[in-house]
Amino acid sequence: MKSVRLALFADSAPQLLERALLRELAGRGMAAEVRSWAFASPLAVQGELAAFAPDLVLLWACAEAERFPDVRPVLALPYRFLVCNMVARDDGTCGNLAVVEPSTMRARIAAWNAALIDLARAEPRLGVVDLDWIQARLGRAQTFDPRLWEAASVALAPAGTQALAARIADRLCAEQGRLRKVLVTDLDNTLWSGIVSEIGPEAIQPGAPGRRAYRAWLKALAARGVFLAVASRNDREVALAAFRHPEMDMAAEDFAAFEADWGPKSAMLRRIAAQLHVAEDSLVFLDDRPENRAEVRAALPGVCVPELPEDPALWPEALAALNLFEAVQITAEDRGRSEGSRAERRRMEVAAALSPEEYLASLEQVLTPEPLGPANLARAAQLTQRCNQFNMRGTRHTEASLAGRTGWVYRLRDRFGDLGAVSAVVLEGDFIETWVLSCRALNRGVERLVLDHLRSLGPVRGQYVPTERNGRCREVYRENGIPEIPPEEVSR
Amino acid sequence: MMERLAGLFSETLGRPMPPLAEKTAFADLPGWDSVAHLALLLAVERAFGVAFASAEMVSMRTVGEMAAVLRGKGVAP
Repeated sequence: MKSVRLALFADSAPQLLERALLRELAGRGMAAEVRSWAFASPLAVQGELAAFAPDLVLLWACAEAERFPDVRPVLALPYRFLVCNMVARDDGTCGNLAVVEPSTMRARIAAWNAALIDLARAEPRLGVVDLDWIQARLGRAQTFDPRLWEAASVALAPAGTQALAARIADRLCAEQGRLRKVLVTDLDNTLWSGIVSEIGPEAIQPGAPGRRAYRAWLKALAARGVFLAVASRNDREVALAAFRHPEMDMAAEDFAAFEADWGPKSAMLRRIAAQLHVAEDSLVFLDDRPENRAEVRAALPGVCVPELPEDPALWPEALAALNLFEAVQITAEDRGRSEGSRAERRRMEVAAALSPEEYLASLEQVLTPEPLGPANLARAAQLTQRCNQFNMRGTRHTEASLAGRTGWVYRLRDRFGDLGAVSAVVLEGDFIETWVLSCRALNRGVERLVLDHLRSLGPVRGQYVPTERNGRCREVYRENGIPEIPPEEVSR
Repeated sequence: MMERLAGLFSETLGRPMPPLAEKTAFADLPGWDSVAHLALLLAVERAFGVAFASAEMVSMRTVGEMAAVLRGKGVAP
């Protein structure tokens, strides 16, 4: 494996961190080379740095050094950077006012950290290591030993150094694609209190101490793009029934995979990985029973199986401390992943239970027209390129060919969620030159809603030009009483 | 005390120690450097349940000096 080259810049003695990093990375099977520069700026040693050719430059300005270096000029160098934020610190010279008064150490640290966050948001090459949270979690006494600082300029005590090294290694692993993507949870005495097959779905306790906070943590993970899955030793129907408990604040549909039977948990995890198209080492498995954890650990060594405290009230803090779900970036696609799949599952359930007419009426669809313009040109072009089944004349457009044209982009939402821009129309006078509709919006009566909108603005004429795949929109104009131009009359 | 120190030193520095004498300087121990020195001091603090003052941390240069500081903190010779 290629070795990772890390350049470490610190305004305190860096040796303890350097050693801890090498140990931590070796423990994760990552070869690494670390080179430290103490009390120097990367700008001052550009030649040496270029010769070292780091994969990543780590900047650690400590609160104790009181230097508050400007990170911006360093970004002129062509590297990726990881910058530690500063730990909270107060010298007690003006009490609570220290938070407010801009000249205090406490306020200057807060301002430096805020500027760092702004920089990281604007510059994709810069990441932040949350050293401040390490101190908040371990306590000041565990992270700062004034004697070490005075005797040897060591700004971080051993426990804090170890935690920082782990946090940096988490980030390096994530950057190399070693990401955990799925959280697999047990149900009985994990998601709720009680064993549903023994006491019945009504008698479980979803509100027992710790359970609600655990579920809130799961929901937060899903919101940022982690898949949730269930692995439970239960009859499937009984497990599903438990989700109808009035105090239950999660639905079975919140889980992208739902495995419930009486086989071993490791077999369930294998099926979950296959179903979600992920490798086994991207799974995290949480279960209250040590024997289940041991079984999975033995059968699937790649799966992360954290030990859990006996008391479920302690779980969320213990899980947060493990930093199981390091992420390099979170995209809009991540945020929409669970939402989109959940909404689609709910639609399918409702559709199965109702007649097509009842289903459509129940969706509470709202179609919003937007004039074709710079803000939606890219999406409109993409729709014409992707839509085959509902592309009235088989037309394709690019952003350039759409620029300056008259038309509409239609956004659809229903009571289950936002489907985004689903249809685009290009007009030439009263003639519908292009009309495409996304597959996601087919069979929902959206065609008529679009035509009603166009008609409300004035009379329109349409044309159907057959292509290999657009047979399904052959009758749409006729069914909706739109005057049609015969296929041969307008050249494509 | 000397035997305990020798055990701690070899544990912290990760290698066997030669016989320690009062005049043995830390700088002459195998595997010693300034960072190892700090790790060594912290290990001795934990093992004997004492805390060194920062001045003591920088002043102790030989095993004998450390033993004297420890005796001063009530550690049996």
